[in-house]
Amino acid sequence: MSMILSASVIRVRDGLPLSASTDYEQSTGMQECRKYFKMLSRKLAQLPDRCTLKTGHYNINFISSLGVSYMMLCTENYPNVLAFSFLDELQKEFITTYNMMKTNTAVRPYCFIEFDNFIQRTKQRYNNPRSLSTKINLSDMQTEIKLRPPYQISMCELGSANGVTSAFSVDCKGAGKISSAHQRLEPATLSGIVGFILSLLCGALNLIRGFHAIESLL
Amino acid sequence: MRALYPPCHCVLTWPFLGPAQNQMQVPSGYGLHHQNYIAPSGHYSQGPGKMTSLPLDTQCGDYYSALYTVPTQNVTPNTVNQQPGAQQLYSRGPPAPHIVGSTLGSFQGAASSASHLHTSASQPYSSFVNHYNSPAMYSASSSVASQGFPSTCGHYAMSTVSNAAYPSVSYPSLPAGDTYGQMFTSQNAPTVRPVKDNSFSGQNTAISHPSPLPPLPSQQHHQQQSLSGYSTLTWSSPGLPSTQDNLIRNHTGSLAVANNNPTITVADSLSCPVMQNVQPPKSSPVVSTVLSGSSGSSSTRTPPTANHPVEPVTSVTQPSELLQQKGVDSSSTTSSASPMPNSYDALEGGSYPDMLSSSASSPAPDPAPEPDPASAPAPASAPAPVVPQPSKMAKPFGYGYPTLQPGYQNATAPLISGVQPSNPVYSGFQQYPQQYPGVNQLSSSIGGLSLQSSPQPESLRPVNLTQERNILPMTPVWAPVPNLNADLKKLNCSPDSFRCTLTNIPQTQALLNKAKLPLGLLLHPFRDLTQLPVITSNTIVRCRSCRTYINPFVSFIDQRRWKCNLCYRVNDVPEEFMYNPLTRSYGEPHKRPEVQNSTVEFIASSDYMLRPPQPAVYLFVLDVSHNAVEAGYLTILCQSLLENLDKLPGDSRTRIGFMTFDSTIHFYNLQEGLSQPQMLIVSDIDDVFLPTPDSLLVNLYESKELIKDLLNALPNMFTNTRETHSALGPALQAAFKLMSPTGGRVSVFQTQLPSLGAGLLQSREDPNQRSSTKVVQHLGPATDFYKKLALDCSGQQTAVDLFLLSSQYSDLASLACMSKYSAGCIYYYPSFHYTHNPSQAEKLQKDLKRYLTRKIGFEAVMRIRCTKGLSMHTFHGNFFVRSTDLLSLANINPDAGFAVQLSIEESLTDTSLVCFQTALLYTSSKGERRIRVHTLCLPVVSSLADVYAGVDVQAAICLLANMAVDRSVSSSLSDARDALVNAVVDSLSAYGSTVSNLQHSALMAPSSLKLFPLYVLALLKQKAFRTGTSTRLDDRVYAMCQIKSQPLVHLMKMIHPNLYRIDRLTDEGAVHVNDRIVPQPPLQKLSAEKLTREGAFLMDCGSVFYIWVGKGCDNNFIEDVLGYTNFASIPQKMTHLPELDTLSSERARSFITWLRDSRPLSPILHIVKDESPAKAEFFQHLIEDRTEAAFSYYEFLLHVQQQICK
Repeated sequence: MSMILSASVIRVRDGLPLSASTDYEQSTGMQECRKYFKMLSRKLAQLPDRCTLKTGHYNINFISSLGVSYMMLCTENYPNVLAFSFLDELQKEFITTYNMMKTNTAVRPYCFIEFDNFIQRTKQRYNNPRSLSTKINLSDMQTEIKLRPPYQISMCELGSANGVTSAFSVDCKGAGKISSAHQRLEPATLSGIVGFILSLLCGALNLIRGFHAIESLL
Repeated sequence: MRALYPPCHCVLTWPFLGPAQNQMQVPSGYGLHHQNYIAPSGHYSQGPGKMTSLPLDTQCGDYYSALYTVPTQNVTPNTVNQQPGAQQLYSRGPPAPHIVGSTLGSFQGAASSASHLHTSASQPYSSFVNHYNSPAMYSASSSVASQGFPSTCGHYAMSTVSNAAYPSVSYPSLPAGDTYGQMFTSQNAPTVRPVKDNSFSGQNTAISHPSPLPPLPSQQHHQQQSLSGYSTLTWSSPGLPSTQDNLIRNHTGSLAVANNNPTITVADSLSCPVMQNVQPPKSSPVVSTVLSGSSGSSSTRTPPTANHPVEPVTSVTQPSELLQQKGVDSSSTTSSASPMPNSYDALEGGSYPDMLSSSASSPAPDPAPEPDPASAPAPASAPAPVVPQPSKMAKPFGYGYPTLQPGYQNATAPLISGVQPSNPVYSGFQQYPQQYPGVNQLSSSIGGLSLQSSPQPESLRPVNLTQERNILPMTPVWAPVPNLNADLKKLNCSPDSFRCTLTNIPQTQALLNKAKLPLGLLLHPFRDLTQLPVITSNTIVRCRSCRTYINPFVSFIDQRRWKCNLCYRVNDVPEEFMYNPLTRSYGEPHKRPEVQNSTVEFIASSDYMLRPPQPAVYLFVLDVSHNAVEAGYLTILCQSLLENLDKLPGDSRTRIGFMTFDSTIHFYNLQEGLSQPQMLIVSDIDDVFLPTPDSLLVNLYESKELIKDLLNALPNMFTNTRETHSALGPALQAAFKLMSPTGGRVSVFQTQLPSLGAGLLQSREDPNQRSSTKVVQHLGPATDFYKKLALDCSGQQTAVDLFLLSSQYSDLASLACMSKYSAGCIYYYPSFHYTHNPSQAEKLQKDLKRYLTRKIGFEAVMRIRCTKGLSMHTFHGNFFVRSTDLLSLANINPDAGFAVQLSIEESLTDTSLVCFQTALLYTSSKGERRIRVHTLCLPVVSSLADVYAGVDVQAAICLLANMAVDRSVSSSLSDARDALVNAVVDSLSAYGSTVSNLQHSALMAPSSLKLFPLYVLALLKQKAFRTGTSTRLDDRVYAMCQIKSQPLVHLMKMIHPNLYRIDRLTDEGAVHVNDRIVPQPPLQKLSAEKLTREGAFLMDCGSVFYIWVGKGCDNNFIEDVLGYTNFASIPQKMTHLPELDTLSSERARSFITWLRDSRPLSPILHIVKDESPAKAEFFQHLIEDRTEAAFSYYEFLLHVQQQICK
């Protein structure tokens, strides 16, 4: 069964949640995905403006524009086109309802939680595809997605094991924004290991030499 | 639990500390603590709450997936309120600045509102600072002065001096390019720049970039408020990243735990709007009828196939001595397990990471730099004298009770001595530190010595109880004020929110045991407040090890560091905290509102949320069996709801739903777009399912018309019902399923014993035993069905409120469990009938008005912290204990009270003050996550006399009442009664042994305890505990429920009502309230001897008023106030005072109105004629008189005396 499970609106600059759907699902997979939501929201600024993250049975899609990102969670078999047109609809409504100044200056999390009403209704509509088909023109979205497919975030990027952030500057070029290169700790190479051992050896030798020098002085 | 923390602390070298302090151990590795902290709660998932595995949902889901239908409603974009947050914020503040801020839209408006919010509290402090500014005072304090903050004043002096160097500079904390910038252009941009201090430069550059875009005035509203509430986007301060890191760790840890939850998926996102086609699973008929007139009962109803009687599982726990403090083992003790290990505890923050190591880490008074051997009052008093003579006691430790107040010295002084020399900024200060500790302790001991000759405090005056005829004072009894110095007194938490049974905390458990008094806290955390500082801040400043919120009782070591008053850890002051938006000055962290008010509310960041803030969701579950229809409550309820529909707290997301039940369960589809409400009947009560999960809880504003239609139709829909059964259990299960996706409030109206399906109950009351003096049985629940259900609800953030309106026994003891454990509330209307019992009907109406419109907080947790050395062990109230010190409250309402029992684990010799802090994290009805923090500070004393001097007798009685309720459920009523009597006997005999010079034949009590025997006697005659008088079991259980959940003020009225004579009200001593003159008649003691036939008396029992009119009452009074010509013409049932245009009528009414206004539930007035049968109701409250089954007050005193002499 394919359906949209939840959606949220997040400010790109600092990952502040602005609104979210509050019809809480309780399954364990969902809890996992909510974790990804959090992780993603922290790195929105470095990600391209249309992305997909596949996490097992669920997909997370999001789009960003004008400093606000719209994120949604759906089952893995939910059509991509529908997902992005859902996000598009959220975006249009959000932009018309709340002016940018307000979203930029919001400090409290979930300032615009009342947008939930709209998310809720749109979600219900999209979860019921037969009612939907008459209302939106999917072909435009289809071509747009074909031309500019969403950037696929891989799990390892998200994990960002030891660096501050992961380096996805390499692959995101095609998808839009070019994020700056990031430093990242990498496992030592063979030459590195050899160099390290040699320098250790030299250090030890110098130490011994030093001792001998002191002895000779005394 | 504490043993679970591994003693992990590592040696840290603090950059700011001098070399002498380098070896100080500080607990770190904080994240590690938390992971350990979480682990046990995961284990709890094995605990209770595994009931109701619901295979049904999946059936439902699959089933509906086959029946996908096409809804045709149009989705129109709703117009969402533009300013939700701002209005919410403003509504807390005083109204005047609100108007200013919103109309002018200028920065000044917002600033004035902010300053207005805090003016009252900041005044004391401003004088305080002046005091420290003057060097003369400074030297004076180092020579003799015994009070105040001698050790810290130096810092304040320094800080003001450093400010004086650039006086007009203010550092609004702004990120560059932020739109706030424009607002600051009206103000002088700071041009003077502290060149010396590098750390300031960042802020200056931030200010110098005002954004070119001024916000529109209308939109500015919210920004200003948030700005005035110190919302600033921050530069990272040294303390900040690590705190956030901790929170993140907590969070991820918590999520991992939450994954293990056995949770329930409700297939609620399926939409099946067309119900007529539905073929229900398992052949249970789902009948869809359209509500029109009195239809709805024509549907086919299948009888239940099988009942599942649930075996009573009552856990019997061992009785324990009430005053031993070791836990009357009730369900509310800390050992209870968690059904849903949601990790709110991790969100709100853990408790002490390591008690053992903290003694090393906390800088205890360091004797090394202390040159004065004659000082140190605290350690000397550790072994308390066994039987100290009053005269002897006075000498060494300053018996001078009234002003013995060492203040902060013990805590702060030694540290400063180590810190100061290494801190270059405060170079001018260096010459002093060596003197400090010695001087402080010397001065305090001088203070003590000088007070030796001072008169004995009033609270210690011995009172001979048997001789004193009028023990009750003429004026209401107020809470004793803790014996703190003037500054702390002003800052301390209001006794209305936070009280301790002993306002002087004994130093050791041994001393406490010797005093034989209960130690505990009485809380009213969510009380309606008229003034509450609301703080929006990026970083909520908290102690890094014990997570205490910064409060007025912390000490600032210097401008950059503060010391926690609960665990004594030294923390950094975040950069943001240095800026004071109130004065718009920089570098005065001690003037921030958090440090100026002991009750504050923070707007929480998203770190304090596990999920987006839930909407306000209200579900009404209504009994519509024959019994209920006969009682006629539906009319009143629907009328109240219709009147208050717009006043229900909530935002535009508010949802509402209705269910009714008799032997079947009826749902109401109220989805907008329908022409009228649809009733859906589910008759399979053994396997309840939700027919249309999506459209049963609907948006209040979108479906308002349908809701109104339903409410208008409901009272008449079931008029001809013949159904007498009640399937409450299945209805509650359905309600739980309906609520579990969001959480919220379920209001259950029940009128009889549930007789069908899960949770059915049998009558357990034997009417012949009602007045038995021996054993009162069945005070505990008959089944654990309701408790399990409540725990499940609590796990899904749902509270169940019970309105029981029954004329017969309904086993409240079992039913009440559904509210007790889900943090709900219980209302009981015995023998309710809308025409036969108009006073009950009126009471229901008034209660409902309050209930529907009062504030409400959702998905709340409350944690109580106290100074290291004290520990909490038993909690009282309606909640679920999720971990040792975390109370899970699915809902919090302003009328809920709590109590906590305390014990002293480590002696408190190295501190002179202890603090208690409650933090209540909740989601407001407007979808804001907020934290309300109360902090109470109390002195520590070392002598028994001081302990007695500080007894808060009302708090003690309320705590004892709570303990006695636990005892009567876990053990027996007679045990509880004995324990209450023993509490008096023990404490008075313990007092008697301290004052040996008095004659032993008399029954002596300190003045602070003089009301103790009276109140205990009142308790023994209270409905909850009385024996020998006919008391219906439900009445008794309800009284017990009230004792557990009422806040202190209301509970005291219930225990000991106030009696006034009102036929001769004069303006003597009257007070003026809102242009009204309110007479203040003296309190009368509760004895028939005070009642004269010539008078009229008002008795204020909290939830009910009685006016007793004597037979020979002056006809003038009857005519002027009651509006009748003579005594004989007064009707039997009179519940209102007529509005007559006479002076005495005006006085009486203004007095009663004044009494009413002081409480949330407006009480019902009964006018009782001397001859009417209702007078028994009145006379049962005259507790000083002898009844056939109980002592009079004097007899009780003799009994106590006898026990003491034994």
